[in-house]
Amino acid sequence: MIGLHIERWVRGRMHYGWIVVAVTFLTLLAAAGIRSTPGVLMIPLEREFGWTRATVSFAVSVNLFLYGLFGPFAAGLMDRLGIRRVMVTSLALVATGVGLTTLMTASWQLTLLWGVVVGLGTGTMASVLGAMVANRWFAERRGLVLGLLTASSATGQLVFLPLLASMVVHVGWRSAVLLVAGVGLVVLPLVALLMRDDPREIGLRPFGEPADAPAIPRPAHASATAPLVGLARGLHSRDFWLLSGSFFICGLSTNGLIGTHLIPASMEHGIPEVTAASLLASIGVLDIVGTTVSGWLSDRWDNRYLLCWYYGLRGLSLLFLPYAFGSEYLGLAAFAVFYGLDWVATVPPTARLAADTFGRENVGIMFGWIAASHQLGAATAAYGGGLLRTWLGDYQVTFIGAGLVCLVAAGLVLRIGQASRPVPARSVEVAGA
Amino acid sequence: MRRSLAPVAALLATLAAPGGALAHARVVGSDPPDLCAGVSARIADSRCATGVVVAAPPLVIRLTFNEPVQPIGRGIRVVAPSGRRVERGPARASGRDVSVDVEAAEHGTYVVSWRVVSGDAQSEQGRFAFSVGRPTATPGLVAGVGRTASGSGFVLAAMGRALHFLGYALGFGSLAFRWLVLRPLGAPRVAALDRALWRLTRLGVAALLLAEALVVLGHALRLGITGDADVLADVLESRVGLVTGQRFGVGLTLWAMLTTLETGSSITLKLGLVLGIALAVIDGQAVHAVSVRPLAAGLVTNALHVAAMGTWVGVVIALLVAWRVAGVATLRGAIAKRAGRVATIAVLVAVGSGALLSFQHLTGTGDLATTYYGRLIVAKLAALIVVLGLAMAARRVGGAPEPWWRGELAALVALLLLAAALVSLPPPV
Repeated sequence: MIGLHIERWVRGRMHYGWIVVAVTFLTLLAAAGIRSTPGVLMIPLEREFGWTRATVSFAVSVNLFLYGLFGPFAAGLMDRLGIRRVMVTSLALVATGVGLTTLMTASWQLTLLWGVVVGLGTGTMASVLGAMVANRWFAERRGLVLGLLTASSATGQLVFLPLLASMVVHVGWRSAVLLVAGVGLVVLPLVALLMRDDPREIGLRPFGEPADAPAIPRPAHASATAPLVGLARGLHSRDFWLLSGSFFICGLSTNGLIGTHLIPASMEHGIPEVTAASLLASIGVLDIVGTTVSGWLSDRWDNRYLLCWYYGLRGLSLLFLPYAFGSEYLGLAAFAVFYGLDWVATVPPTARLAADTFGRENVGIMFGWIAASHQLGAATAAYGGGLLRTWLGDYQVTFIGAGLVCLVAAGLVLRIGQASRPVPARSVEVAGA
Repeated sequence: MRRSLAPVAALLATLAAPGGALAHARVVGSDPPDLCAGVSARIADSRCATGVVVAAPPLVIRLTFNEPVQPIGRGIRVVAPSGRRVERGPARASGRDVSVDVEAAEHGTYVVSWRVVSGDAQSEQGRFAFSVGRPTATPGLVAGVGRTASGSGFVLAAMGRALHFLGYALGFGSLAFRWLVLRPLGAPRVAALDRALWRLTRLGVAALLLAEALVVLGHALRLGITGDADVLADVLESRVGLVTGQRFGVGLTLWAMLTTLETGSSITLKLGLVLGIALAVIDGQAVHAVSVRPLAAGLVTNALHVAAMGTWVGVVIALLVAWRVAGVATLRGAIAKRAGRVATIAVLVAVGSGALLSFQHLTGTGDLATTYYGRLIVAKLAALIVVLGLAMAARRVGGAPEPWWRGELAALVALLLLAAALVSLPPPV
């Protein structure tokens, strides 16, 4: 009952919500670290087992797909079973799945373990977890908490790569995988001991809620079919297609393509694995800056134009990438800066447009589906990139193709809300591009 | 437009001076050597069919080109007398050299065929023979020396390029018409004219996108897409794919901008024009401009030429469209005058830059008569004179200028077709 002791010790010193945030932060970081691993494993796995790029990519793509698809349902699951229980189960599942990959001998085992087990397991440890913790435990500072937890998820995906890459190079891929599984196992008891589902469970109010505030009844269990009802509604909306279509392209061009294939592509151009991993890590660091600035901008500018610029610049930097590989490190560094600032900068404007379009009360489920299409895009790019690499022997077409669809996304986002938007007066000048 | 005769004279004068330029990949040396290098198919004899006879089997076949190239597919194929392929692994490119390991223990005549993409994104192929120990018969080689390229592929690629130029003129020329002709007039916007002009821009976008598909398909056909599905893949992975991707990207960007452009945003209009200039520079990568040294000189000259041409053709088309729109009757005179001035400047720039381009790509005036490239330049000049004649007639002859403009446009389209053929041909070195 160490947990109880800690709980008692914390009481009076700080709000227990911060412990919950710390535990969630660690869990999201660990999950993100786990999800980032395939990029550094790609070439070692090919070398050891003789699998093609398409084979390994397929497992990654299944993983990304299930991770995304599970998102909209994860909230319901945590409502029913409790956050802590879901977290513990997922961590155990993921650590086992990851650990077992060291024993695999055939490619279907990679798809089963990495694709299905780890994909489903990490699906619950995604942005929805952060949102749930922030909403339940905090009445004040909710934005800060949400920002912290989102950053740990997005950035954690990239910052561990240099460490993992150097382990792969110096000790072998199995040790890197075991380290990742081990981190999951270390976090697991912390969650079991310290995580609490709800402040009321330990006689507390959410942080910052005045003592005399009326107790808000816990919302009734969301119906299990609510996500499907939302999806059905979305499918009839032009803006839903535009939003999820552009977000599909976002996922395709970020964690699907660059997250999965930048390291193998760099290695094929003679760049050492650790350097390539550091490149991705620096994208992850710049991403914090980009996303913060983007959040700030999204309060001030038309979000459609913001997104248009983000996708446009991202498309151009992908078209430039084949040159960057030819120009040693300077070009790649420029690419990292450009791409990093843009990595998940698309999230704040997209979320805001979704809220404007579907109303604040529906945005949770609708954004869940839009985010699922992001992962669907990521899964498509992870597998498609591998397939094209196997067929063509190079990544040029893949990168250029992704650049072109980003330009398509730049056009799509400008067309959001057009049906309902009043036709602008002929002489009105619209700022931006 | 009368002033434009002086640059024409200047063009003719500059053609007399030699210019040094490399473009289109050619084999300049090989190991084993090609006995019939540079010999045209007409005078090739049986020695070309068997090639040089070497005593010891070569371990490596090496081709040296006049410029760095990218091998397509396996790059070099070597067929043994028995009909077996004897090259081991894909060809390696290193600077201007492309080589492949071979197992040529068999005695007899071997046929080496190669396919590459050059620095200016042109696909080239050829073949030659050599014999180990003693020559044997290799039927069909003499006729096939360097002449295996598919004609339909060449035509398709040239069509694609013509469509690209037309798309450029429609898409960006119509924007130039807005910026250079309509805006300075300060006239109130006429909705019908606006719509008609946006239709031109949209047509331009469609043409730009379709053109790239034709160009890629043309290159693939030219290299023999039939029988080797990987050729398409290799064309896409080569410089052709790189440049095609960029041009396609510009087309898509213009499409993305359309929604905002149509609101009348002047910032977006400016961005659109910048995009047009960028495309003109990008175009230089796919023609012979990249072979000019210094590189910037080639790219700038080519960009000026493309942009001026696009502005000229686009303005003429937009003028014809504007003429028909009801509601601009009062503006007709002013628009025509202003458009004439813009077109004149565009012609001056086009002729000046064209003269420079010819200077960069011809070795002397003799090339004008003896090479296809030179003859096409002469044909372009002739078409240009027709166009200028029609433009002047539109001014001087009384009555409706519209039929003259239509004639000018027809001649301009012919000029575009000639330009498309020109950039598909190897310039003389």
